[in-house]
Amino acid sequence: MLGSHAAGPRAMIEAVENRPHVVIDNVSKIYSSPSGDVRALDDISLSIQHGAFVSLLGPSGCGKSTLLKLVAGLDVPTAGSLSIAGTAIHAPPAGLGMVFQRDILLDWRTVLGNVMLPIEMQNLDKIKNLDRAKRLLRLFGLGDFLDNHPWELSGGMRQRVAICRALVTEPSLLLMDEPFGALDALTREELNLELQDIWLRTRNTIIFVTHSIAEAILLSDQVCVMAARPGRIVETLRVDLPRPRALAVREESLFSAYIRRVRQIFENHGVFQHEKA
Amino acid sequence: MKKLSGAAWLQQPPGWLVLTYMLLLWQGATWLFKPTPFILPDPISIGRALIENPGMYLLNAYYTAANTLLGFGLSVVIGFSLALGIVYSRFLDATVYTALVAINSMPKVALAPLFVVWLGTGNMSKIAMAFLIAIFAIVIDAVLGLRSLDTDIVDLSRSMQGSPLKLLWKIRLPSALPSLFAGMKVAIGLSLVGALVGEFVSAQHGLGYVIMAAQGAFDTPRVFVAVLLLSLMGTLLFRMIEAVERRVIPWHVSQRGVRH
Repeated sequence: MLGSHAAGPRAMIEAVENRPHVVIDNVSKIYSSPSGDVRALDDISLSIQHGAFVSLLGPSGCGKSTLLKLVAGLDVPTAGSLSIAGTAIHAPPAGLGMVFQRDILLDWRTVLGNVMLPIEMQNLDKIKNLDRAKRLLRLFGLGDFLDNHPWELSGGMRQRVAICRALVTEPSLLLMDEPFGALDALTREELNLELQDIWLRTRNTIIFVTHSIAEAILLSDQVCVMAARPGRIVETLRVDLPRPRALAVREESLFSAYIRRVRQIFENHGVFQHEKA
Repeated sequence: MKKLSGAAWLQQPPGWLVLTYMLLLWQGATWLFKPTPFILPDPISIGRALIENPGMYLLNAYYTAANTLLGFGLSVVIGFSLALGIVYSRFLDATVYTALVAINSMPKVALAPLFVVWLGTGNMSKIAMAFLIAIFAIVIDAVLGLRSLDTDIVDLSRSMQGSPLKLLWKIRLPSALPSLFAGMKVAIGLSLVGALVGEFVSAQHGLGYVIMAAQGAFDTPRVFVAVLLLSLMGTLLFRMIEAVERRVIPWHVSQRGVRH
């Protein structure tokens, strides 16, 4: 600590930035049920850098949502430990934003009111943060819908509101649990690009749960391929495609090569059993 | 205003028209079959009975309405507080809820004479009856509403570092309101029944008292005036809750199609 003092503030900042943001250390989660124990997560270790976009990719039941809940401090592991910026996670940490598959907007609040919810829940200054909420909504093309109610919006617009709600407190860590899983394919592509844009601006750390191989590769720096029974990370893949990535990147041979890699991993671990038959 | 075609009038006739037809039918039937007024008076003589002494009916209606509303108000306040306790405390769930179910399964009207013994022949025994008969509907629906909270919303609230109190105030309470209003709409009618039963057992005023006194005097038209006023009162009370509901939860699915 004293040594970095002498190296000046710039080096200190870099030292902080080089320290991993999220560390998952030998984490297991076992659910006990009358019919026997279920190993939802089996000995997971993962280190995520500040500002990284990491996807957890896998079939249903591989424990990717469970892992996300553990990082969010909403559940506790059976074994192992998790930490955020060096602090062990026991409860939902500060500087956290979450987006779920369902937008779970509150029907009695307007679009702006929904985005302001985290501000109110944390007793932050409403007036100061109102501008940021409006700016975010404008950024997502919802500037004309501030006073509308959620039921007046389309599915894609609703999920955009949910993303704004997660971003309004400027979280350093954004956890997204299949956020675009309920949307149609075209809206999904649009939102993929919008998410990349906002991430390139804010550079917060994102952990993104999905079961779409193409989506994971399009968005991530790092893809953790998971398999089920027991839920585990079978391989972690670095995605070295230049940013910002356009949808057209999917037609490039490098992109297809990544897709094939992931499919191969899934096949090796018995995820695509029906294709072998 | 849109002009209704003949077919629309038949398919969806306005309420006043239906009521007018019913009264005409009633009047015609009494002219035709001539029952003694003691058995079935005709609408005109019922109307005459009302016009002869409107102040008396109004005063008695006031007593019944006041006791109904007081009993109903108490059942909402106490019922909702109990529901909160039941939702947040396993102990209260096991004790109060069980006790309430036991109380509800007995015919509460049977308690009316006891209330007179305990609370006297004044308004208190009527308010207590209106309260007791309505509270179960409030508790059941409020508990349902408070419990039907999405687990994702609870997770979301926790991830925002929201305190349990904020979760209650900003999310749980508003989302329970539609259920609470459903309970209130049932409870307001029950409260009226409770107040009336209280008046049947022993009273010096109220529409229930008017009915008992008129029946004792073989004055069936007066009984009918009181009965019709009671049904009017019941309708108004129900509409009142609906109007409040429209103002409080305009966002709810059940209210979005409603023309104000």
